[in-house]
Amino acid sequence: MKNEIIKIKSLSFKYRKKGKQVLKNIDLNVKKGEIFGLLGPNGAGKTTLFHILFTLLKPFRGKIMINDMSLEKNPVEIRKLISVMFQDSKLDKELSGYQTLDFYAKLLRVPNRKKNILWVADFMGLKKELHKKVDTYSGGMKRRLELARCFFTKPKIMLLDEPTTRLDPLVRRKIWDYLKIINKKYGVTIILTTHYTEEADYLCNRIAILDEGKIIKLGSPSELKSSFNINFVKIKAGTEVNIIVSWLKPKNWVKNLVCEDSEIKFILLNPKKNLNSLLAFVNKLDSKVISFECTSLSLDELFIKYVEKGKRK
Amino acid sequence: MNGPIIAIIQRNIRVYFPLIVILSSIISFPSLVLILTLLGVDKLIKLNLGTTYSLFLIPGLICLTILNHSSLVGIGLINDKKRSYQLLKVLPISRLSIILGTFLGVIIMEIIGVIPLIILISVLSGKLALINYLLVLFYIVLLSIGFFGFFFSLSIFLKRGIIFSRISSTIILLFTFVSGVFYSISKLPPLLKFIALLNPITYGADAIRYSLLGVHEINLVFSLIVLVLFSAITLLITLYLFNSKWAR
Repeated sequence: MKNEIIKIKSLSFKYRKKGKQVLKNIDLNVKKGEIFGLLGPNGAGKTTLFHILFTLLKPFRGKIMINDMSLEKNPVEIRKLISVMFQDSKLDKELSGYQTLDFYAKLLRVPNRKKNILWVADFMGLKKELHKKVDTYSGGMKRRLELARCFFTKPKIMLLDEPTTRLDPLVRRKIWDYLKIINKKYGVTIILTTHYTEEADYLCNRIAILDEGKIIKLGSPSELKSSFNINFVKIKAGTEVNIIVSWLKPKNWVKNLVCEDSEIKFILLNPKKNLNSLLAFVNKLDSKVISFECTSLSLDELFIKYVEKGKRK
Repeated sequence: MNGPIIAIIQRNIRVYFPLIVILSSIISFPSLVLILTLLGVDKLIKLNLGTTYSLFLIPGLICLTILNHSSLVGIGLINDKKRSYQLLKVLPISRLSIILGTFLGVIIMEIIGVIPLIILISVLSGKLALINYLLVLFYIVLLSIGFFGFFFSLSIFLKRGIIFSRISSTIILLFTFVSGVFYSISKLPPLLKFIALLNPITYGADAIRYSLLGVHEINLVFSLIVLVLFSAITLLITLYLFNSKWAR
């Protein structure tokens, strides 16, 4: 498909010839202009996959095409298209923010160097501190400087390995907003790894859950959330608890029914089919129901469920 | 010279040679020579080479400065291989540009570091001709490539700066102690003389001594061959290791 900017086919990788496979037969396509998230626990193979995409490691087996070019045959050409952010900071604390950006501008032969540096510093909210040493920057400022370094060459693809790890929630949200603008306004395809499910949920158009070197689930956040096909229901019912419990008990789409005081909690299986009859029953009870709450799985719970399911297999 | 090479030279000078390092290398060794001269070391140690001991010492100290700077950058590279240099590897610039930028940055700083010693020797020994300066520059470049290549390669194998530091200080001690840096090799016992002749710094010190003072103890052509070979081999090893093992 023309719309796909990264195509990964049957990718396997191991660090040593006879070593354990870190990536196992991965098939993955990333569409042009999307924000794609790789979600997985520690040691799932996210960083290894990224290091292969960064052209630092060679795949053991399989094929990767980036912008219709083979990664194996055209690493230098591909490096011109991508911009990478490693998990750990690669900044020189001895340099100032300006010197850092100037270094990369010279390396990458960015035209109108000074103008571009000032523009990107302004865009990332770093203009005031630009001439201060990186050593004096906060964690969030360092990450924004790295993001500025990645972005000011206007790459086609940005590969970000855990871009918000170790940042506080406010700074994290700020970085997310920058990423959204970079993606929406400038059309940059962004692929990021994370173990923050809320980050993947907020930012990504699609998510792949990676565990033990395999992709165990792929889809949009809403697709993934509905894929388990269950809802959590909480009913607060005053004095009529027993009527509701005796109505729910025989239903085969009700699981883990718990009743504490006047509150009933259960898992609703196949909500698409059964939610209407539940709502009809609750409506009939009318004023006897104090509150009714029905929620789907959060991405966090979903992530844990998938990883646990994978382990059981 | 292209943009990336200049960028790497500038970055490395900023990162590896802060002002304190430059000042200490500019002040320390020339002061040592002056103090030794004032203390009358030339009367105490007599050489049969037609020069005083303090003048004889300066070329050795030039070599020692080169060794120190090379080892200093080697320690820096241990940290850098998982930092900026890992990033450099994924940028669209050639590996050769990275190596050239790194070596040239070190060579420039070696030259700046030894300028005070060269000024001192020209003041103490009388007027030096342009050819003397060019010759010494040539040998400084050769020695810088050789020693920096050696420490660069060492930094590829080691993971911790503290271990590198211990190993490099032992190597520097051995390199300088059993060599022609501090004393004439003709005065060494046969076994130590044999070991000194296996040491490239002996040839470097002798060649620089000839360039600046016109005295030498080893055949000059042989010294040149040894130094060219030493530099070429370490440069090739560095290139090979950088492409195969570095920054993984």
